[in-house]
Amino acid sequence: MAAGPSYTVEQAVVIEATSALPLLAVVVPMLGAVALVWAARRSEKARNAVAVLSSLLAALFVFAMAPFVKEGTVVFSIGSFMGYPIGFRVDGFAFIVSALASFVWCAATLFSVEYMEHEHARSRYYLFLLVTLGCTLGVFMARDLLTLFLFFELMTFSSYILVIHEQNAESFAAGDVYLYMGVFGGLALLFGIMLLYYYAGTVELSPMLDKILRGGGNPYFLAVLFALGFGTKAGMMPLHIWLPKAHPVAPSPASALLSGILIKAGAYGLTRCLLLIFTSAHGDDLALRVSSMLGYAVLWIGQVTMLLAALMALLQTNVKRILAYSSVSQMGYILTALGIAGYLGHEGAMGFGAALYHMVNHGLFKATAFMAVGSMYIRTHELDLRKLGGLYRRFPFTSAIYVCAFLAITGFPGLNGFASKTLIHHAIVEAEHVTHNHMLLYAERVFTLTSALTACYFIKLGTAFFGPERGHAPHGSESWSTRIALGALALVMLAIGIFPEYLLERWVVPTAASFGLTGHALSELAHAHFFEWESIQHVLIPLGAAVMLFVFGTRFRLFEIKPPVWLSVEYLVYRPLVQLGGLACQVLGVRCNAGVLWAYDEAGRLSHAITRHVVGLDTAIESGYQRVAADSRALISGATTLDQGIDGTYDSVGRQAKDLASVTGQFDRSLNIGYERTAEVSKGLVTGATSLDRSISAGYEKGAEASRSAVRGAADAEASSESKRPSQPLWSAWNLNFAALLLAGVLMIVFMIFLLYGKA
Amino acid sequence: MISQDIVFSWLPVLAVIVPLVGTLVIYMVEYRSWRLRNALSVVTAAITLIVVLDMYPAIRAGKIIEANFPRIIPPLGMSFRVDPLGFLLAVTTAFIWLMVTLYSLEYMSHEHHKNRYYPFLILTLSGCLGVVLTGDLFSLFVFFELMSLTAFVLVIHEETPEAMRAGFKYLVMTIVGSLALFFAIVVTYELAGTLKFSPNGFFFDTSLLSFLGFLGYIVGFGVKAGMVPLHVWLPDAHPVAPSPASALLSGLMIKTGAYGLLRVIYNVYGADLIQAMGWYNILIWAAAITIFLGSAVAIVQDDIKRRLAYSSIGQMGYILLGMGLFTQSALVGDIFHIFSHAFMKSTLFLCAGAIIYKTGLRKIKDLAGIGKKMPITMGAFTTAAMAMIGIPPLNGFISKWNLSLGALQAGKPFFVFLLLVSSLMNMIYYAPIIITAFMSGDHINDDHAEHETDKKRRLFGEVPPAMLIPMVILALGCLVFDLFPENLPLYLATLSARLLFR
Repeated sequence: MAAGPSYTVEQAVVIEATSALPLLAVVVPMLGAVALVWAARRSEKARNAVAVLSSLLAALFVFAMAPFVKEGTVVFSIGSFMGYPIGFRVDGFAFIVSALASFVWCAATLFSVEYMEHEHARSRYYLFLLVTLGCTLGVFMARDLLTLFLFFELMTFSSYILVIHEQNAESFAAGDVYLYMGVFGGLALLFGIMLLYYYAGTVELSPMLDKILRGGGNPYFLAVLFALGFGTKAGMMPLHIWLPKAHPVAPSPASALLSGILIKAGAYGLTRCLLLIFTSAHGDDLALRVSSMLGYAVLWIGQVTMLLAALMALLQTNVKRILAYSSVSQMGYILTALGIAGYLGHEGAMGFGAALYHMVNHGLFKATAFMAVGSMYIRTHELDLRKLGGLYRRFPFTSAIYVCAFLAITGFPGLNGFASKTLIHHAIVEAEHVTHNHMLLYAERVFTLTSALTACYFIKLGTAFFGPERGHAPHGSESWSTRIALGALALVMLAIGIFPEYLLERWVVPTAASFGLTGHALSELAHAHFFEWESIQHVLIPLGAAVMLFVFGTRFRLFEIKPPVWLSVEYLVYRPLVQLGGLACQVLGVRCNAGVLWAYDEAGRLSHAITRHVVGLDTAIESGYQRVAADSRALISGATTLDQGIDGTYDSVGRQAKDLASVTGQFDRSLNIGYERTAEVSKGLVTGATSLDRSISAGYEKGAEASRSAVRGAADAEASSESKRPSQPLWSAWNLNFAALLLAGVLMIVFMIFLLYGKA
Repeated sequence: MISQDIVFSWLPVLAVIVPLVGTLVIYMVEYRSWRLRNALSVVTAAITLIVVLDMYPAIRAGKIIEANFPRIIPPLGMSFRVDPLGFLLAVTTAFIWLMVTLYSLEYMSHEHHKNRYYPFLILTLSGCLGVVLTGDLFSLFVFFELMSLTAFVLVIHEETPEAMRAGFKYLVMTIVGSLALFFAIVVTYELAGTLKFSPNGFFFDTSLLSFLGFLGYIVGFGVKAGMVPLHVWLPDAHPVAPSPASALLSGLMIKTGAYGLLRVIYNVYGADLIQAMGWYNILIWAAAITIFLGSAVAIVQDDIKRRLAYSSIGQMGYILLGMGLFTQSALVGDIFHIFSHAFMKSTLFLCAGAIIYKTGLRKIKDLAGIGKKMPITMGAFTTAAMAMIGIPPLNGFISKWNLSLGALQAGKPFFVFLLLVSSLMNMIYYAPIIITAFMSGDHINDDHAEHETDKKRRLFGEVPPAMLIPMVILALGCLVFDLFPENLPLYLATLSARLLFR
């Protein structure tokens, strides 16, 4: 065994080659998808050719990176997004999964040509098949978490179209679970990435545990978020519930890719997290303990996943559901190996190698199995195992391929599963040796038991091919494209199975070294021996047990037990969660909103009522005024009447007075006449006296004449002096003394001046 | 720190006056020629956009445009002030308005009262631009009122009893908001003696009156922004308006409420005061309730436009949240979300309008298979809905990313959780529309539906290009900026955030 010197390559010597190959590998399928729409208008053949060629071209671009990756890494920057640089970086790990993805995708696309002939919406299928390829390669080759997330989300959405391709009620139900779980996982992942960025200040794929710890972050919480994100995609229990629903309803080549490749995106992410992000660059104790704890947790989650899913697979009757549960179970193997790698820290080379190797192998054999089953399905239109049987007579080629897949998954020597399962077994045993943790002995037993169960359900699946003939006879045979696709996959499986060391030494060991897994464990991985009796023994014992279990199970109808619904994770966890969410929406959202609306309505009604009351008050006041007005009007009219009465009274009194006056007048007149008569008598009397008097007077006058003329002289003098007196009144303007007024005015002004300015 | 050269320019004034004059001209010519009316509406919107874009060189150079007119309406005076925030919003407003006007030409062709619609459409543009270009609270208030009242005419355009009721609700709530705002502005003037925005706020009063003023702002702008519990008018008014008007109402006009609050928090009271007094708690918890309630209620709506309206409420919650977190990232996300939600929601409403225009269907379950008949419309819808959910690299993701980082930096991871839950809820109410539109439909009962389908295909089909082009451009707006190495709106948002919060 040539000791590969490559494992001594340290991280520091990584050569970064800049090349557009990763970008091309991602973009070519997307451009192919565009070209496909155009080609679909021409002819079916042109479209199929474009689809197959695009995937082939993508695979070529991926494989063209091999020489660069052997030397170091391929990087390519595609600019920036929101100010963060994004781009691709292909190291050994990314290259291996990308190569696997693009190769299987090629085979699946080729396989689709025949499979999809009888399906509807073929162009849509091919379109999204190619877009999903681009996105998946983008996930694998992403340089940082942001780029990874970008492609991860797009991958979820574009693969959703593949899941619901049939567009019947069942596929919509499965698609909904797939989509909502996918988006939920995506959001958890986004939360994780944001927290990571917050603590570490970068979204690079690099060891960040010490940064998280220094930033005060809780690494376990972060790890849970990442596990939710990638674990959902990887079908990790208990996040696997979408997988047995979604994988069976998709068209078989799509199922092959979903089960073979897409769930590897989850495993890829988990690996990057566990072995890269949640490790420390400096290796202080706390960080080591944390990453070891996380690894241990992943190990046991993997154990539970592999065992329970294998049991569930055994109880299914739908062929594709068996394969879907088998995928979950196989992811459990990968997680177990990964967990060991994390648990052992720098000594975890064996676990990592096993996980990586099993990813590749599972991708190959699960895709093969799905396609073999699919190849039968298009001819029988039957997925129920109870109605299938004896297909090997008509389809020896597909049956042979199925046997390959069967032997591979059971880890039979000579096929690829043998190598990785042996490595996983080695890893568990070695971990137990290193840590002396006896719990790991149980892990080994679970591993053996699951191997037996796996073999058993694959034997059960095999009855479709080799069991007694049932149901209607199928017709036709496989087309050349199907044969090429299946044959290519089988050949690769055989090649890896026969020369397991090639992949190990050339690719797995250097990749493990690039993850910083060094030391004794790495050289042990590099020198792992496969074809030894001890290893073969570990495969043959479960196989024997499986045969016995199958015979026993069939005899006692053990495989027809239906586990109670209430025991399922879906029933126990998800349905309550969804109901709780729905309730929260209902109560906190809808009811609250209705409450607010009600409050507004009530406020409106209240103000309306108040307004009405105010209007009532207003009316009352107005009517009061009116009443007062009426009263006062009555009062006024009464007063008028009174006035008129008084007036009348006065009138009558006046009239009477007038009458009285006239009577008085007559009396007066007669009295007057009486007086006049009396006067006449007295006048005559007087006249007599007067004439007597006049004669006396004439005598006196002559005597007075003389004295009067004497007095006149003195009286004249007195009269002239009297006439000189002023005749005007005293207060007249002419009487004013102007000089005195002028003086008073001047005094006044002076006084005013004193008064006004005296204060100042 | 960014240099803050202040330059005088007539451009902001012109940007407000062009649509005002345009309204008059349209009003005068519309009874003579409808062609001229339509042409003038588009030309006015286009000229306005050009005028707004003319401010770009100055903004790019880090300058702030100011134009003060103290003699107009003394003693307060009118003033215009354009910083990157105002510019970003003005450009968004003018651009989307132009698109919507273009879209209206076809959409409104079968409606009545077109002679009322167009002048008011352009008049509202003037108000909307005025809000984001003014430099003091009083001028802002004037334009805010102009916008609110003219938008009423757009809301009640259909004149159905339903529309009148919704319009009445809108009017009452708007008036209540205006009064609260007026009160707050009076308080501010009383306490500070000025109303002019200043970079770090001009208000250093922590009295009860000052707090009441702040509450007045929250109520006044909150009504417009659809903040729970002041949102009641929104889900009624937005769906009854004609779809282009809904696009403007949901896409742009409710943003003026958020814009006003941003100005009040950062340029009137100042971030320090609000932080020190803890008044932001009102805002962020109201925002949290808004986010959850809007998203949750949207899930149960079966009328597509009502669902979009509730979605708007939820999204406004993001924006209200972002301004109350007081971190740079949150503010960047906040401002960017104002921009991105404007594009997303106007696209969605225009697409919904296209469906209603073509088929008259509004119920989501009736939309089965519509995606096959109207692939471009539903493609645009899907793009915008994906952006809404926050799928990278669409613009909704960028705002969510920045908002969440901001919440983390503010030490409030609960809000990150809330944002993500809301994203999931967005998914729950948008995905069924898309899935129903594209996936269900004619395939299920192929045989006997063949004849039916043919008939439907003739009946339906894609809307005319005059409607398609604006929709597609807006949908692309959710994507193209993010594909360039330098994301221009994000740059402007960052610049604005840096100016507001330092």
